[in-house]
Amino acid sequence: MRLAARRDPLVLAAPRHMSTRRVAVHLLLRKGLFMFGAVVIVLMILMAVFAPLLAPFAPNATDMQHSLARPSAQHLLGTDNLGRDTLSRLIYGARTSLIVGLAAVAAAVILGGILGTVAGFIGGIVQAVIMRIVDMLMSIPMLLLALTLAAVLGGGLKNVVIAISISMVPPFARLMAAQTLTIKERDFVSAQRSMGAPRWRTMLGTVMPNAYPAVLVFGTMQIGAAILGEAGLSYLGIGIQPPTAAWGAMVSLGFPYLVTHPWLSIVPGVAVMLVVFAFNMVGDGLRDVLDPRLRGTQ
Amino acid sequence: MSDPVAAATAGSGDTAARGPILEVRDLRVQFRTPLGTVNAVDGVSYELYEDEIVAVVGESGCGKSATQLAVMQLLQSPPGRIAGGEVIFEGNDLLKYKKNGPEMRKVRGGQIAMIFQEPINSLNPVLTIGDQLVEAYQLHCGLKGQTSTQVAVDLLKMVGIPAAEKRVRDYPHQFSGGMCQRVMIAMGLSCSPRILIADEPTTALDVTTQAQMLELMRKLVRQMRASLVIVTHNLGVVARYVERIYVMYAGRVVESGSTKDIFGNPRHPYTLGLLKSVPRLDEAQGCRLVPIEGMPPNLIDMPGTCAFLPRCSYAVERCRTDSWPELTSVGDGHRARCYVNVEEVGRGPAAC
Amino acid sequence: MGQPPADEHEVLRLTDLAVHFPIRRGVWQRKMGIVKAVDGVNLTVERGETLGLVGESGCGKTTIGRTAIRLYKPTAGSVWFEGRDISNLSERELRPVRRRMSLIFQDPSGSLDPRKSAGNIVGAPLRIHHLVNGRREYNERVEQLFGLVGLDPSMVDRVPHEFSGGQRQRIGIARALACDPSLIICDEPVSALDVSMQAQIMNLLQDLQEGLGGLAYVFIAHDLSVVRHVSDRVAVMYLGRIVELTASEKLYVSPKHPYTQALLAAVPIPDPFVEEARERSILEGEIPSPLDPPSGCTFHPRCPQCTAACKTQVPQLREVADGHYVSCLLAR
Repeated sequence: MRLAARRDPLVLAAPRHMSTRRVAVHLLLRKGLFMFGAVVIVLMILMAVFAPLLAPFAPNATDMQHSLARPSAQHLLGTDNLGRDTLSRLIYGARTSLIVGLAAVAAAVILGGILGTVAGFIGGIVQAVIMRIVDMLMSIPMLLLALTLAAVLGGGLKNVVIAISISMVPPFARLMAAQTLTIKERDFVSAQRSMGAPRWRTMLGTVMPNAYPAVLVFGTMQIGAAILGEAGLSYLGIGIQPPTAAWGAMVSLGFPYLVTHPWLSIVPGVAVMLVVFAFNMVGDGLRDVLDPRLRGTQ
Repeated sequence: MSDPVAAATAGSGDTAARGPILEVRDLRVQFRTPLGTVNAVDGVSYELYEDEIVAVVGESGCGKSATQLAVMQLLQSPPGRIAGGEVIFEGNDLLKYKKNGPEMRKVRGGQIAMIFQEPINSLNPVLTIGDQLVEAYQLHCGLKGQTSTQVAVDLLKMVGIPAAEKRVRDYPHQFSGGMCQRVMIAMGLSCSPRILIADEPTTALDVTTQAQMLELMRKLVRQMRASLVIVTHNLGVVARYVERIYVMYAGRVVESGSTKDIFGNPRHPYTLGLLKSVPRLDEAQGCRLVPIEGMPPNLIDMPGTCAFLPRCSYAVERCRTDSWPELTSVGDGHRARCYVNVEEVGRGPAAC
Repeated sequence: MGQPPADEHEVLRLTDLAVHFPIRRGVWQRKMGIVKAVDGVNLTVERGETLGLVGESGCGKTTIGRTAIRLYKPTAGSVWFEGRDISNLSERELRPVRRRMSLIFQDPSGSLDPRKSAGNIVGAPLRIHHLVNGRREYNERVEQLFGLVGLDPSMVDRVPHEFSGGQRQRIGIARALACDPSLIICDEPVSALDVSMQAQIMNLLQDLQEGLGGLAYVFIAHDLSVVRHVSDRVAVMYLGRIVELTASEKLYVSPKHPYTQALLAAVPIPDPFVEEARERSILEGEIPSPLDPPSGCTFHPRCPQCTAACKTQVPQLREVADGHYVSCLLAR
């Protein structure tokens, strides 16, 4: 090119603004509820990861001689009817909840995300067909699905994850379809086409990355819902095979002793509540911070 | 007041008062943002006299809209707030009234009316035009009880909408942008206010519609002997319709004067820069525009010196060391906020 | 089908171009009406020139710009680019064509991917068309493009919202230049900018055209002062058709179509002394809806010189003086 570079001195001298990420972190750190939720989640993750180190007893070790013990120095939260240490079961229960929550949402995000993006991007008959399939999925209650899967495929954590994730696919699919449809109309997507970019490249490289903040926010809150779903299922005895420690199951097992040993049910129940609340607060905070940036303009 | 049009065009009985009808003194408005406090309006003073058309001119971020919103106490309270100053209207300081108190509500709409940039956004999409006109009329004039739809029809006729009897039952989405703006003008003028503030009233409109709108506004305010404040960045509109101008930059008035003084003899480098950078329909072919170099200022962390300094090609040593000058008189009714007060000729049609 | 271009100096030719959009309503998406956004347009753009397209809402100028780059497909008529009929090419066949033609958008914020860095945005065409070999060459070229549009090359890693509006528009321009195109469609490139920024960008566009030799622009805008300033020739549009086409100097001095005359009268000039002396004739009425245009000459309901014939006959674009085309039954 023959033209010499222009040097506009004031353009060169522009000061660097605080980058998006720093502003976001700055804002988040100031939000008390978000911080509370984040701390709870981190603690939960630590608990799950370091369970063998943290738990004083093996979670499934029965000890009939000390069954239904009251909280003491040895058993900080007492024991259940089979003599298993409640605290250890609580700690190991975090694993179950976390695995189910993350796995179910991850599967739903991937499957729902792909379906939604393809539907939104291609449009027309493809969109109509995919969205009707998603609608059908949505009409299946999660509980019924879990029961059916348990009956057909047998019990186990895997089927719980499958049931929950299938029931979560429709919301993610619809979210991605809506996001894709909106983003598709923006000028920067038209710009890609006007430059000659192939469609798939635009979909993967331009549309999807712009849709992910919405998915991130929604997904975080759905983890809480998934954990709640798992607790509900294991409370009903579906999926989780005893003697695996799971918070919902612990609530159920402690029920007969609610009057005399209330902590057996209440403590795991409170754990579920705290964790779900924490994920919701984190999701809220993320949404508040990401929302104006979602629109692209200040 | 049963006939708004007759009442409006009858005008006020008094002859022109000697003092200004609106006086803004040292108004300050701040916005709190995560990155710091923005001094959007940083000590703005101006006067408005009876029966005149005045413009507040500037680019985005200069504070011209924030000033008018502050006068009307329409600022969004977080994050904005009025940090100081007075707005004297008919002997009272409007800023002393409570934002939604009875005195302020009486002034707002009834005595000082305001119309905004996007007319379709100012109208409620689920109510008919007639209903909204009647509601505005009742609120502005402080009436209670039933008001007939005839009021709405008369108002539509006043702003030149054909087939008013039929259109009064239409919804906003059935009106074009230009017609919506006419409806807003009708609402604003329904109780013959003393002042009409128009915030970028024509920016969203087509050129021919723009011309119609401005002619209409001028005609009506002249009939009502009201004063019109046009907030705009369009220098052409200003040159054609306006008698006095306030030029704003970075939250302050940098030059003020009659239209002929400002265009014919601009003294502030920013004003001069604007005039030289705007293309004119009647200029000679091959003219090159002289842009104002650099970028608009960052209103957070402003230095004490002149805000225009980084972009000014006329700066002298004093500009770098002293704080921003006060507004000083450079002619009859003509003031500028500058140590240099340039004396270059503004562009004429043949010159470039 | 449309004649092939007259000579190799022509970069773009639109022949009887029509672009219609159906309005579909209801569950079954039935066609309820047609918006004739562009309705029979003939235009040529020579190498190295700037053709201005001006008009008010609904005139079709943006549609023409986007159809030229084949973001829309013509309903009728043809688009010839550098001697080739591109009206019906598939997206894959269009890829090499889109190397030679690019588009600058109106909204500097909306036209840049908010999640990509400025360097990534500017370099995207280079990657799509595999124009450079290796990282080093790519980075050099991106920095060179930054320099061409007056941006500091050290800002390649910043994201769009860290730039001002004027700077973002420069990023868009740099992106449009990346493949060394022969034609850039500028769709209202300065309308969304502040007054002091507009002059900077207009000067930049003109400098680039002078320095790069052979770069043509189609400059679309609603501001007649802006269009006249940058264009060699101007086409005035109304409801999907061209009503007048001539050199920009002549447009101001001797406009022949009543709409052009009304448009010129409506544009205010930033000079109170000139304004005082001007005739003030205000065009009455509103722009009709493109769904239901008037019969005959679509301008006739608002035209001060309307005759009986104007209500029934559709005027064609005819040359009434050297290089001066008008679409009016009364023009001579």
